[in-house]
Amino acid sequence: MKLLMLAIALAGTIGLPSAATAQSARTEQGVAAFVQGDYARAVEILKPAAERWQLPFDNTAAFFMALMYDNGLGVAPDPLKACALFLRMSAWQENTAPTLIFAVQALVDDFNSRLGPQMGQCMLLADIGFNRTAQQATFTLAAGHWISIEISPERRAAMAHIEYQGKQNDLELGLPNDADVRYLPFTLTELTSFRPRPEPRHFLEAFVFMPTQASQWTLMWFVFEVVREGLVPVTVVPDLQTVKGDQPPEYELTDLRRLATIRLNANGDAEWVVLADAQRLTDVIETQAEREEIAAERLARQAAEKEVDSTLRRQPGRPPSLAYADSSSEGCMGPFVYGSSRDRTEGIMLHLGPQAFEGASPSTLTVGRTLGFEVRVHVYGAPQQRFPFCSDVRMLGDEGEVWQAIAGTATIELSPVFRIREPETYRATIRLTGAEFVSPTGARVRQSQPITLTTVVRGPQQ
Amino acid sequence: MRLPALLAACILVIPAYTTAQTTAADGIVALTRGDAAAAVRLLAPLVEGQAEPDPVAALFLALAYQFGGRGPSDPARSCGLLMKAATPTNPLMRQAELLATQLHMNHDLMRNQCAIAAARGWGQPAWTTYTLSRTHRVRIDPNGFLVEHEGASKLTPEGWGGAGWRFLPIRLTQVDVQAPGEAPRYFVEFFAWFPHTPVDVAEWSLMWFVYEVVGIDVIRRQQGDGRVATTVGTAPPMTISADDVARLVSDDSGEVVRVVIGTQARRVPLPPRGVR
Repeated sequence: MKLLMLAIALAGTIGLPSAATAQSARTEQGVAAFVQGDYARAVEILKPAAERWQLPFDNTAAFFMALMYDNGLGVAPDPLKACALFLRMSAWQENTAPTLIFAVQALVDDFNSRLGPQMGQCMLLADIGFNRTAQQATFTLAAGHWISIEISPERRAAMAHIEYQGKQNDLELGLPNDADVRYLPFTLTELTSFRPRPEPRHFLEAFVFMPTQASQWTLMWFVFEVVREGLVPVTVVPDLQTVKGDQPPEYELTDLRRLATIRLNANGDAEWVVLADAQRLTDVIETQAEREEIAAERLARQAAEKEVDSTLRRQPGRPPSLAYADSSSEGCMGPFVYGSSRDRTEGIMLHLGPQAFEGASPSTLTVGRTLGFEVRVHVYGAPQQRFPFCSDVRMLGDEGEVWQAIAGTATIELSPVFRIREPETYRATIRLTGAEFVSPTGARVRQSQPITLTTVVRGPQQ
Repeated sequence: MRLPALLAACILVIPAYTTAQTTAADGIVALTRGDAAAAVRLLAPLVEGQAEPDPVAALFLALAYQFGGRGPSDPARSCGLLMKAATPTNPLMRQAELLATQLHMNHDLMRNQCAIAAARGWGQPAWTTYTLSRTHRVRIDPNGFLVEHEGASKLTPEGWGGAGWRFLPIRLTQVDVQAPGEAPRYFVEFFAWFPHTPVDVAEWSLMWFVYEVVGIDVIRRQQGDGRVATTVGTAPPMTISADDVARLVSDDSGEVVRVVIGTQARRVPLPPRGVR
């Protein structure tokens, strides 16, 4: 935290000598009021400066404010706050007049023995400041489904507790917890998105003002989706708005909705959008089914890759086996499909061509007769971590020995898959029969068993 | 009192009060700027020698002294001021007590020194300057000896003063040595009474400190604890002549001797001029 505050301080102090001088003069007025026994005035002047947890700290104001908290002068006695201010001065001596350091150290030592176990509270306050507003909110999503969020001065992190059908989950939200951040009330937005089917969805939003420079605040926006007993991060907009002032504005939800919102787009999909920005940053929010499907595909791929023996070496000029594991099937961004042998020393690539996506499913494509339909087999001497079929960039040895199909028929069944960002996406099941391949040297091999590949493909216009 | 006279008294009193408060505030502000010397200059008159010193000013004056606002810091001096500041009329009484304890650490000797400083103040000599020749001058101030000699100058840091000490005037003594053609030797002598306790009727000891100015250097010619006389009373006798108690003389061989007269009579030869 110290480094962050230092960075903020350096950014904030450049070009501001007059502001610093003005503050210094005001602090001296506060000290004078203190000496004259006008504690109400001293508090009025010194408190904002003392309790501003942004570098450079006004440790002179902090010193006298701490004395007033400790003795109940002009304020209710609050030894914890007094302790925290002295402790901050002790930790940031470069902002403290050297003439006061002896007293500061002695008073911190005193608090250490006076407060006992409460010293931890003092240390926490010294770290996070006094102005981090406590926030607590509970939202009921459905019967037996609720979420409670809490940020308290006692905890360094913003925590969420979710209950869903008897299951409980405690999660850290990962919101900023630096000194002096200001949380606006949490918001829960419920939407029913329509694709692929009507489904109620719940979005938790946090708006947080961060002090970024002297008298400057930046509004951050955090969006999560509540999914069963979990929370899925959707987006973070770090600079929704920047405002000037000693204190951030006290926005109502209607004010915030002029800056950013969660809503349905014309397709009935959930989307987040930044309205404050001229560029109107926006993105659709994928469904949980989509997230889970993508995650499952990734896991399956990773599991298959783990089984590969990378030390295996095979004869590169051998004829292809034409036996492929269906779980190895993958699609590229275009209408490319490929699969590999279990040991990943052989790969088959099919370019489906535009006709695969035209007319009724299933469609039949024939090598040599269907425009754009192409099938190749690549044979390697060693297992391939990655096949080059989805890239136009070729490295030496990427290709292996290529056997080109000169005959064969593929039957392709397509069923639409809901991909919120990719409308022309399908799950394709491709069965290749009667294929014959020829090597660069003219050797030929015929397919003796069916080849079936199943994967997600995108239409040709993607 | 007739009304015009009463009004006149008010007019005279209120500005005086405001000025004192302003000065205290100025002194404390100076301290918060890190200017301990200015803090001492502004706060000391409000505290030292005052029958009812401003306790808040006393606390901050203690911090200024502790930081070295007037020469080397002496914890007993600051501690005494803090003890003095720890009065019920001081809104910062707790802090004053705490800081005093931090300085004396509940050590008997140190706590006694704090109590003496609180009760009797901090004694320092009257600063002075001596001209030894046209090109040889010694200034004695809170920082020590500043000697100017043949165009060069040198500060020999030294701190004088103590809890409740009462200094007789500083004395410059020229001792002519016997050897023909040899320059006289110059000594700066301090005599100070110090109280042993803070009680009203205390035992006092008279201390004698001797320094020799040799060219641009100042050499301490001290042996033993320097105690030369004792007395008991509410205050020590300040009108005595130091010569009746102790003096520096030249003996037959031309060496300088410290001579103590009275019940603690003794003669102690000082090292020759060239011996440091």
